[in-house]
Amino acid sequence: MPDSRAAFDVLQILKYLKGRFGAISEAEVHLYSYLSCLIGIFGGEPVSEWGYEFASTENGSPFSEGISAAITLMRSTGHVESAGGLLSLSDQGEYFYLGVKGLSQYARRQLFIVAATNSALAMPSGQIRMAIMEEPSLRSARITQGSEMLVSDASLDALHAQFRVLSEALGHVSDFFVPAVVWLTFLSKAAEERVRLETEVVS
Amino acid sequence: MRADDYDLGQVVSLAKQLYVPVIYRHFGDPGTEALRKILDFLPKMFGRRDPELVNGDIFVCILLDEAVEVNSVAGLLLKTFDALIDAIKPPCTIQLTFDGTYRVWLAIPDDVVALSKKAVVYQFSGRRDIFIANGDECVVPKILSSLASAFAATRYRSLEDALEEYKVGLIRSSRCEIFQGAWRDPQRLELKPKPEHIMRRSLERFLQIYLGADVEVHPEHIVDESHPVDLRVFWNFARQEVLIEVKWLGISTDGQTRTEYTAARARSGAKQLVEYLDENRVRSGSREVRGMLVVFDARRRFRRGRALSHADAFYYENREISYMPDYAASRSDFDEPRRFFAEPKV
Repeated sequence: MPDSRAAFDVLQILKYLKGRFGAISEAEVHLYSYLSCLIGIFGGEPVSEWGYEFASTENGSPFSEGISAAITLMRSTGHVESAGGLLSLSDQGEYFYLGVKGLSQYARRQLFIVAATNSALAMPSGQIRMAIMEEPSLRSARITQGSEMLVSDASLDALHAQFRVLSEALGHVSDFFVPAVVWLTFLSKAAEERVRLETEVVS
Repeated sequence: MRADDYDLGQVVSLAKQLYVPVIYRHFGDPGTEALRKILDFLPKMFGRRDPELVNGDIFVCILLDEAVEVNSVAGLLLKTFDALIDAIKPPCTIQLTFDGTYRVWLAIPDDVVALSKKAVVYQFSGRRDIFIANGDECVVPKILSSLASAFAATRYRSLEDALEEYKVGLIRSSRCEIFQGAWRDPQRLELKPKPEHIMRRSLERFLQIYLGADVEVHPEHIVDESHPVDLRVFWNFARQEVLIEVKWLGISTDGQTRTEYTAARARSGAKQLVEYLDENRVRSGSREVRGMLVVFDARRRFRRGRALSHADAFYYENREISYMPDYAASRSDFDEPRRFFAEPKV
C-alpha cells in the first residue's frame, strides 16, 4: 500500500499544475514531487520524514517507487485519469483532494508542494528540469552513471551548503516560492555554465 | 558532489537582484501573491498577442492598496479575458483586479515609480520583461535571449511544434544567440569551419528548455559516418525516442580552406541515418525509435564573375530538398526531414 503522503502529493501536484498545463506526464509528477522534497529540506524538514524515497533513473531523472505506486493505485480507483500518456485529476479525484487537503498531517508539506508547482509560473518546465538535474544529488548520480538513492548523506552536505547561503542571503521567508525560484535560477545558470565549458573542450 | 563545485556567490547575487526576492523584500506575502497572479496572466496574454509583434509598452499591475491610482483618468472596466485581448493597443496599462475583472488604459501609468510603491508592476518594453517594485527595476533574465519575452511560451507538447517554432523564431533570422556564432561574416553568407557543434548545441538547448519536463534531450559524444546521430530525444515513461541527425548546407571557410555542401549532403545524411536505424533496431528493444534529419540551410547562389544579388542570396529560401528514396514515405521509423533556412543579411 503506498504511503498516504505520496498519494496526497500526487493529488496536489496534479491539482496545482492543471491550471498551468492541463494534464501532465508521470515523469513530471516525479520531478515536482522531488523538487517539493528538496524545498522541504530547505524548510527544515528531515529527509526521513518525507514519507518516500527517490532514486535516479538511468537517464539521470528523479524517480520514486512511492509516487509510482500511488499513481497506479489512484488510476485504479478512478481518482486519476490518463489520456495520451498524460495524467489529470478526475472529478472524483478533485472532490477527494478537497476532502483531505485540510488534514493537519499534510499542512506543512503543502507549503513545499505549492512552492514547487508555482515555480512553473516563473520559468519553463524544461528549465526547471535542467535546474533540478544540476542539484548535487542528481548531478553526482549522473557522474557515477549509477541508479542510486538520492539525497543521501554525501550529497546532503553540498545541498545544505547551498541552502545555508540561500537562507542567509534571503533572510526569513514565509513564502517558499521565493527561495525555490532563486535556487532553480542558480542551478539553471550552473547547468548552462557547465555545458558551455564542456562544449568549449569538445570544439 | 562537493559544495565547492558550485559558485555559491551566484546564490547571493540572485537573492539580491532577482525580481521574485526583490518583490518579496518590498511587499512580503501580498507581493508574491500578486506576482503569481501576474505570472499566470502573462503567458495567456502573450498566447493571444504575440510579443514579437507588440509595438509599444504594455504595463500589467496589481494594486496592493486600493487607494492608489494607476492613472488620473478612469480605466475601461472589462469583465472577460476575450474583451481585454480585443481592447489591448500598446502603449497600454492593464490592471488585474482581485475579483477577476480588468481595467485598461490606452496609456502608460501617470507615474510608474509612484505606482510601484503600492502595486506590483510589470512592464513589457523593447523585448524586455521588467518588474518594478517600490521604484526598483528588475529585468527578468531570459533563458533564451532570442525570444521576445521570457513569458511567451513555456513548453511545446510535441517535437514537431517545437521544431517549427525553432525554425521560424530562432533560425530564420539567426535570432538564437548560440547559432549566431556559426556565421563567419555579418552578412551571413558563409559559415565558420565545422559549425556543426554550434548548430547541435543551439537545437539541443532550445529543445531541452521548451519540450517540457518529461522529455530528455541528450547530445551524442561520438558523431561520425557510422554514428550519425547528434541528439537523442527521449520521452520518459512513454518509451519513445527520436534520433536527430544534424547536417548543414552552404559554404564554411576560415579564409583559406573552404568546404561547400549541397543538397547531396542532405540526401547522404538521410541514407546514413536509415542505415543506422537498421543496424541498431535490435538494441532499441521495446522502445519506439524514429529517426529525423534536420538540415541547417545556409546556401547562397554565388555565381562566378557576378556580385551576389538579393535574389541570389535568397535563392534557396523556398527550395525544398527532394529525397530519393523518399524514406519518410516508405518507412514508419523515419520522420519527414526538416530544413531550416537561415536568411542572409543583405
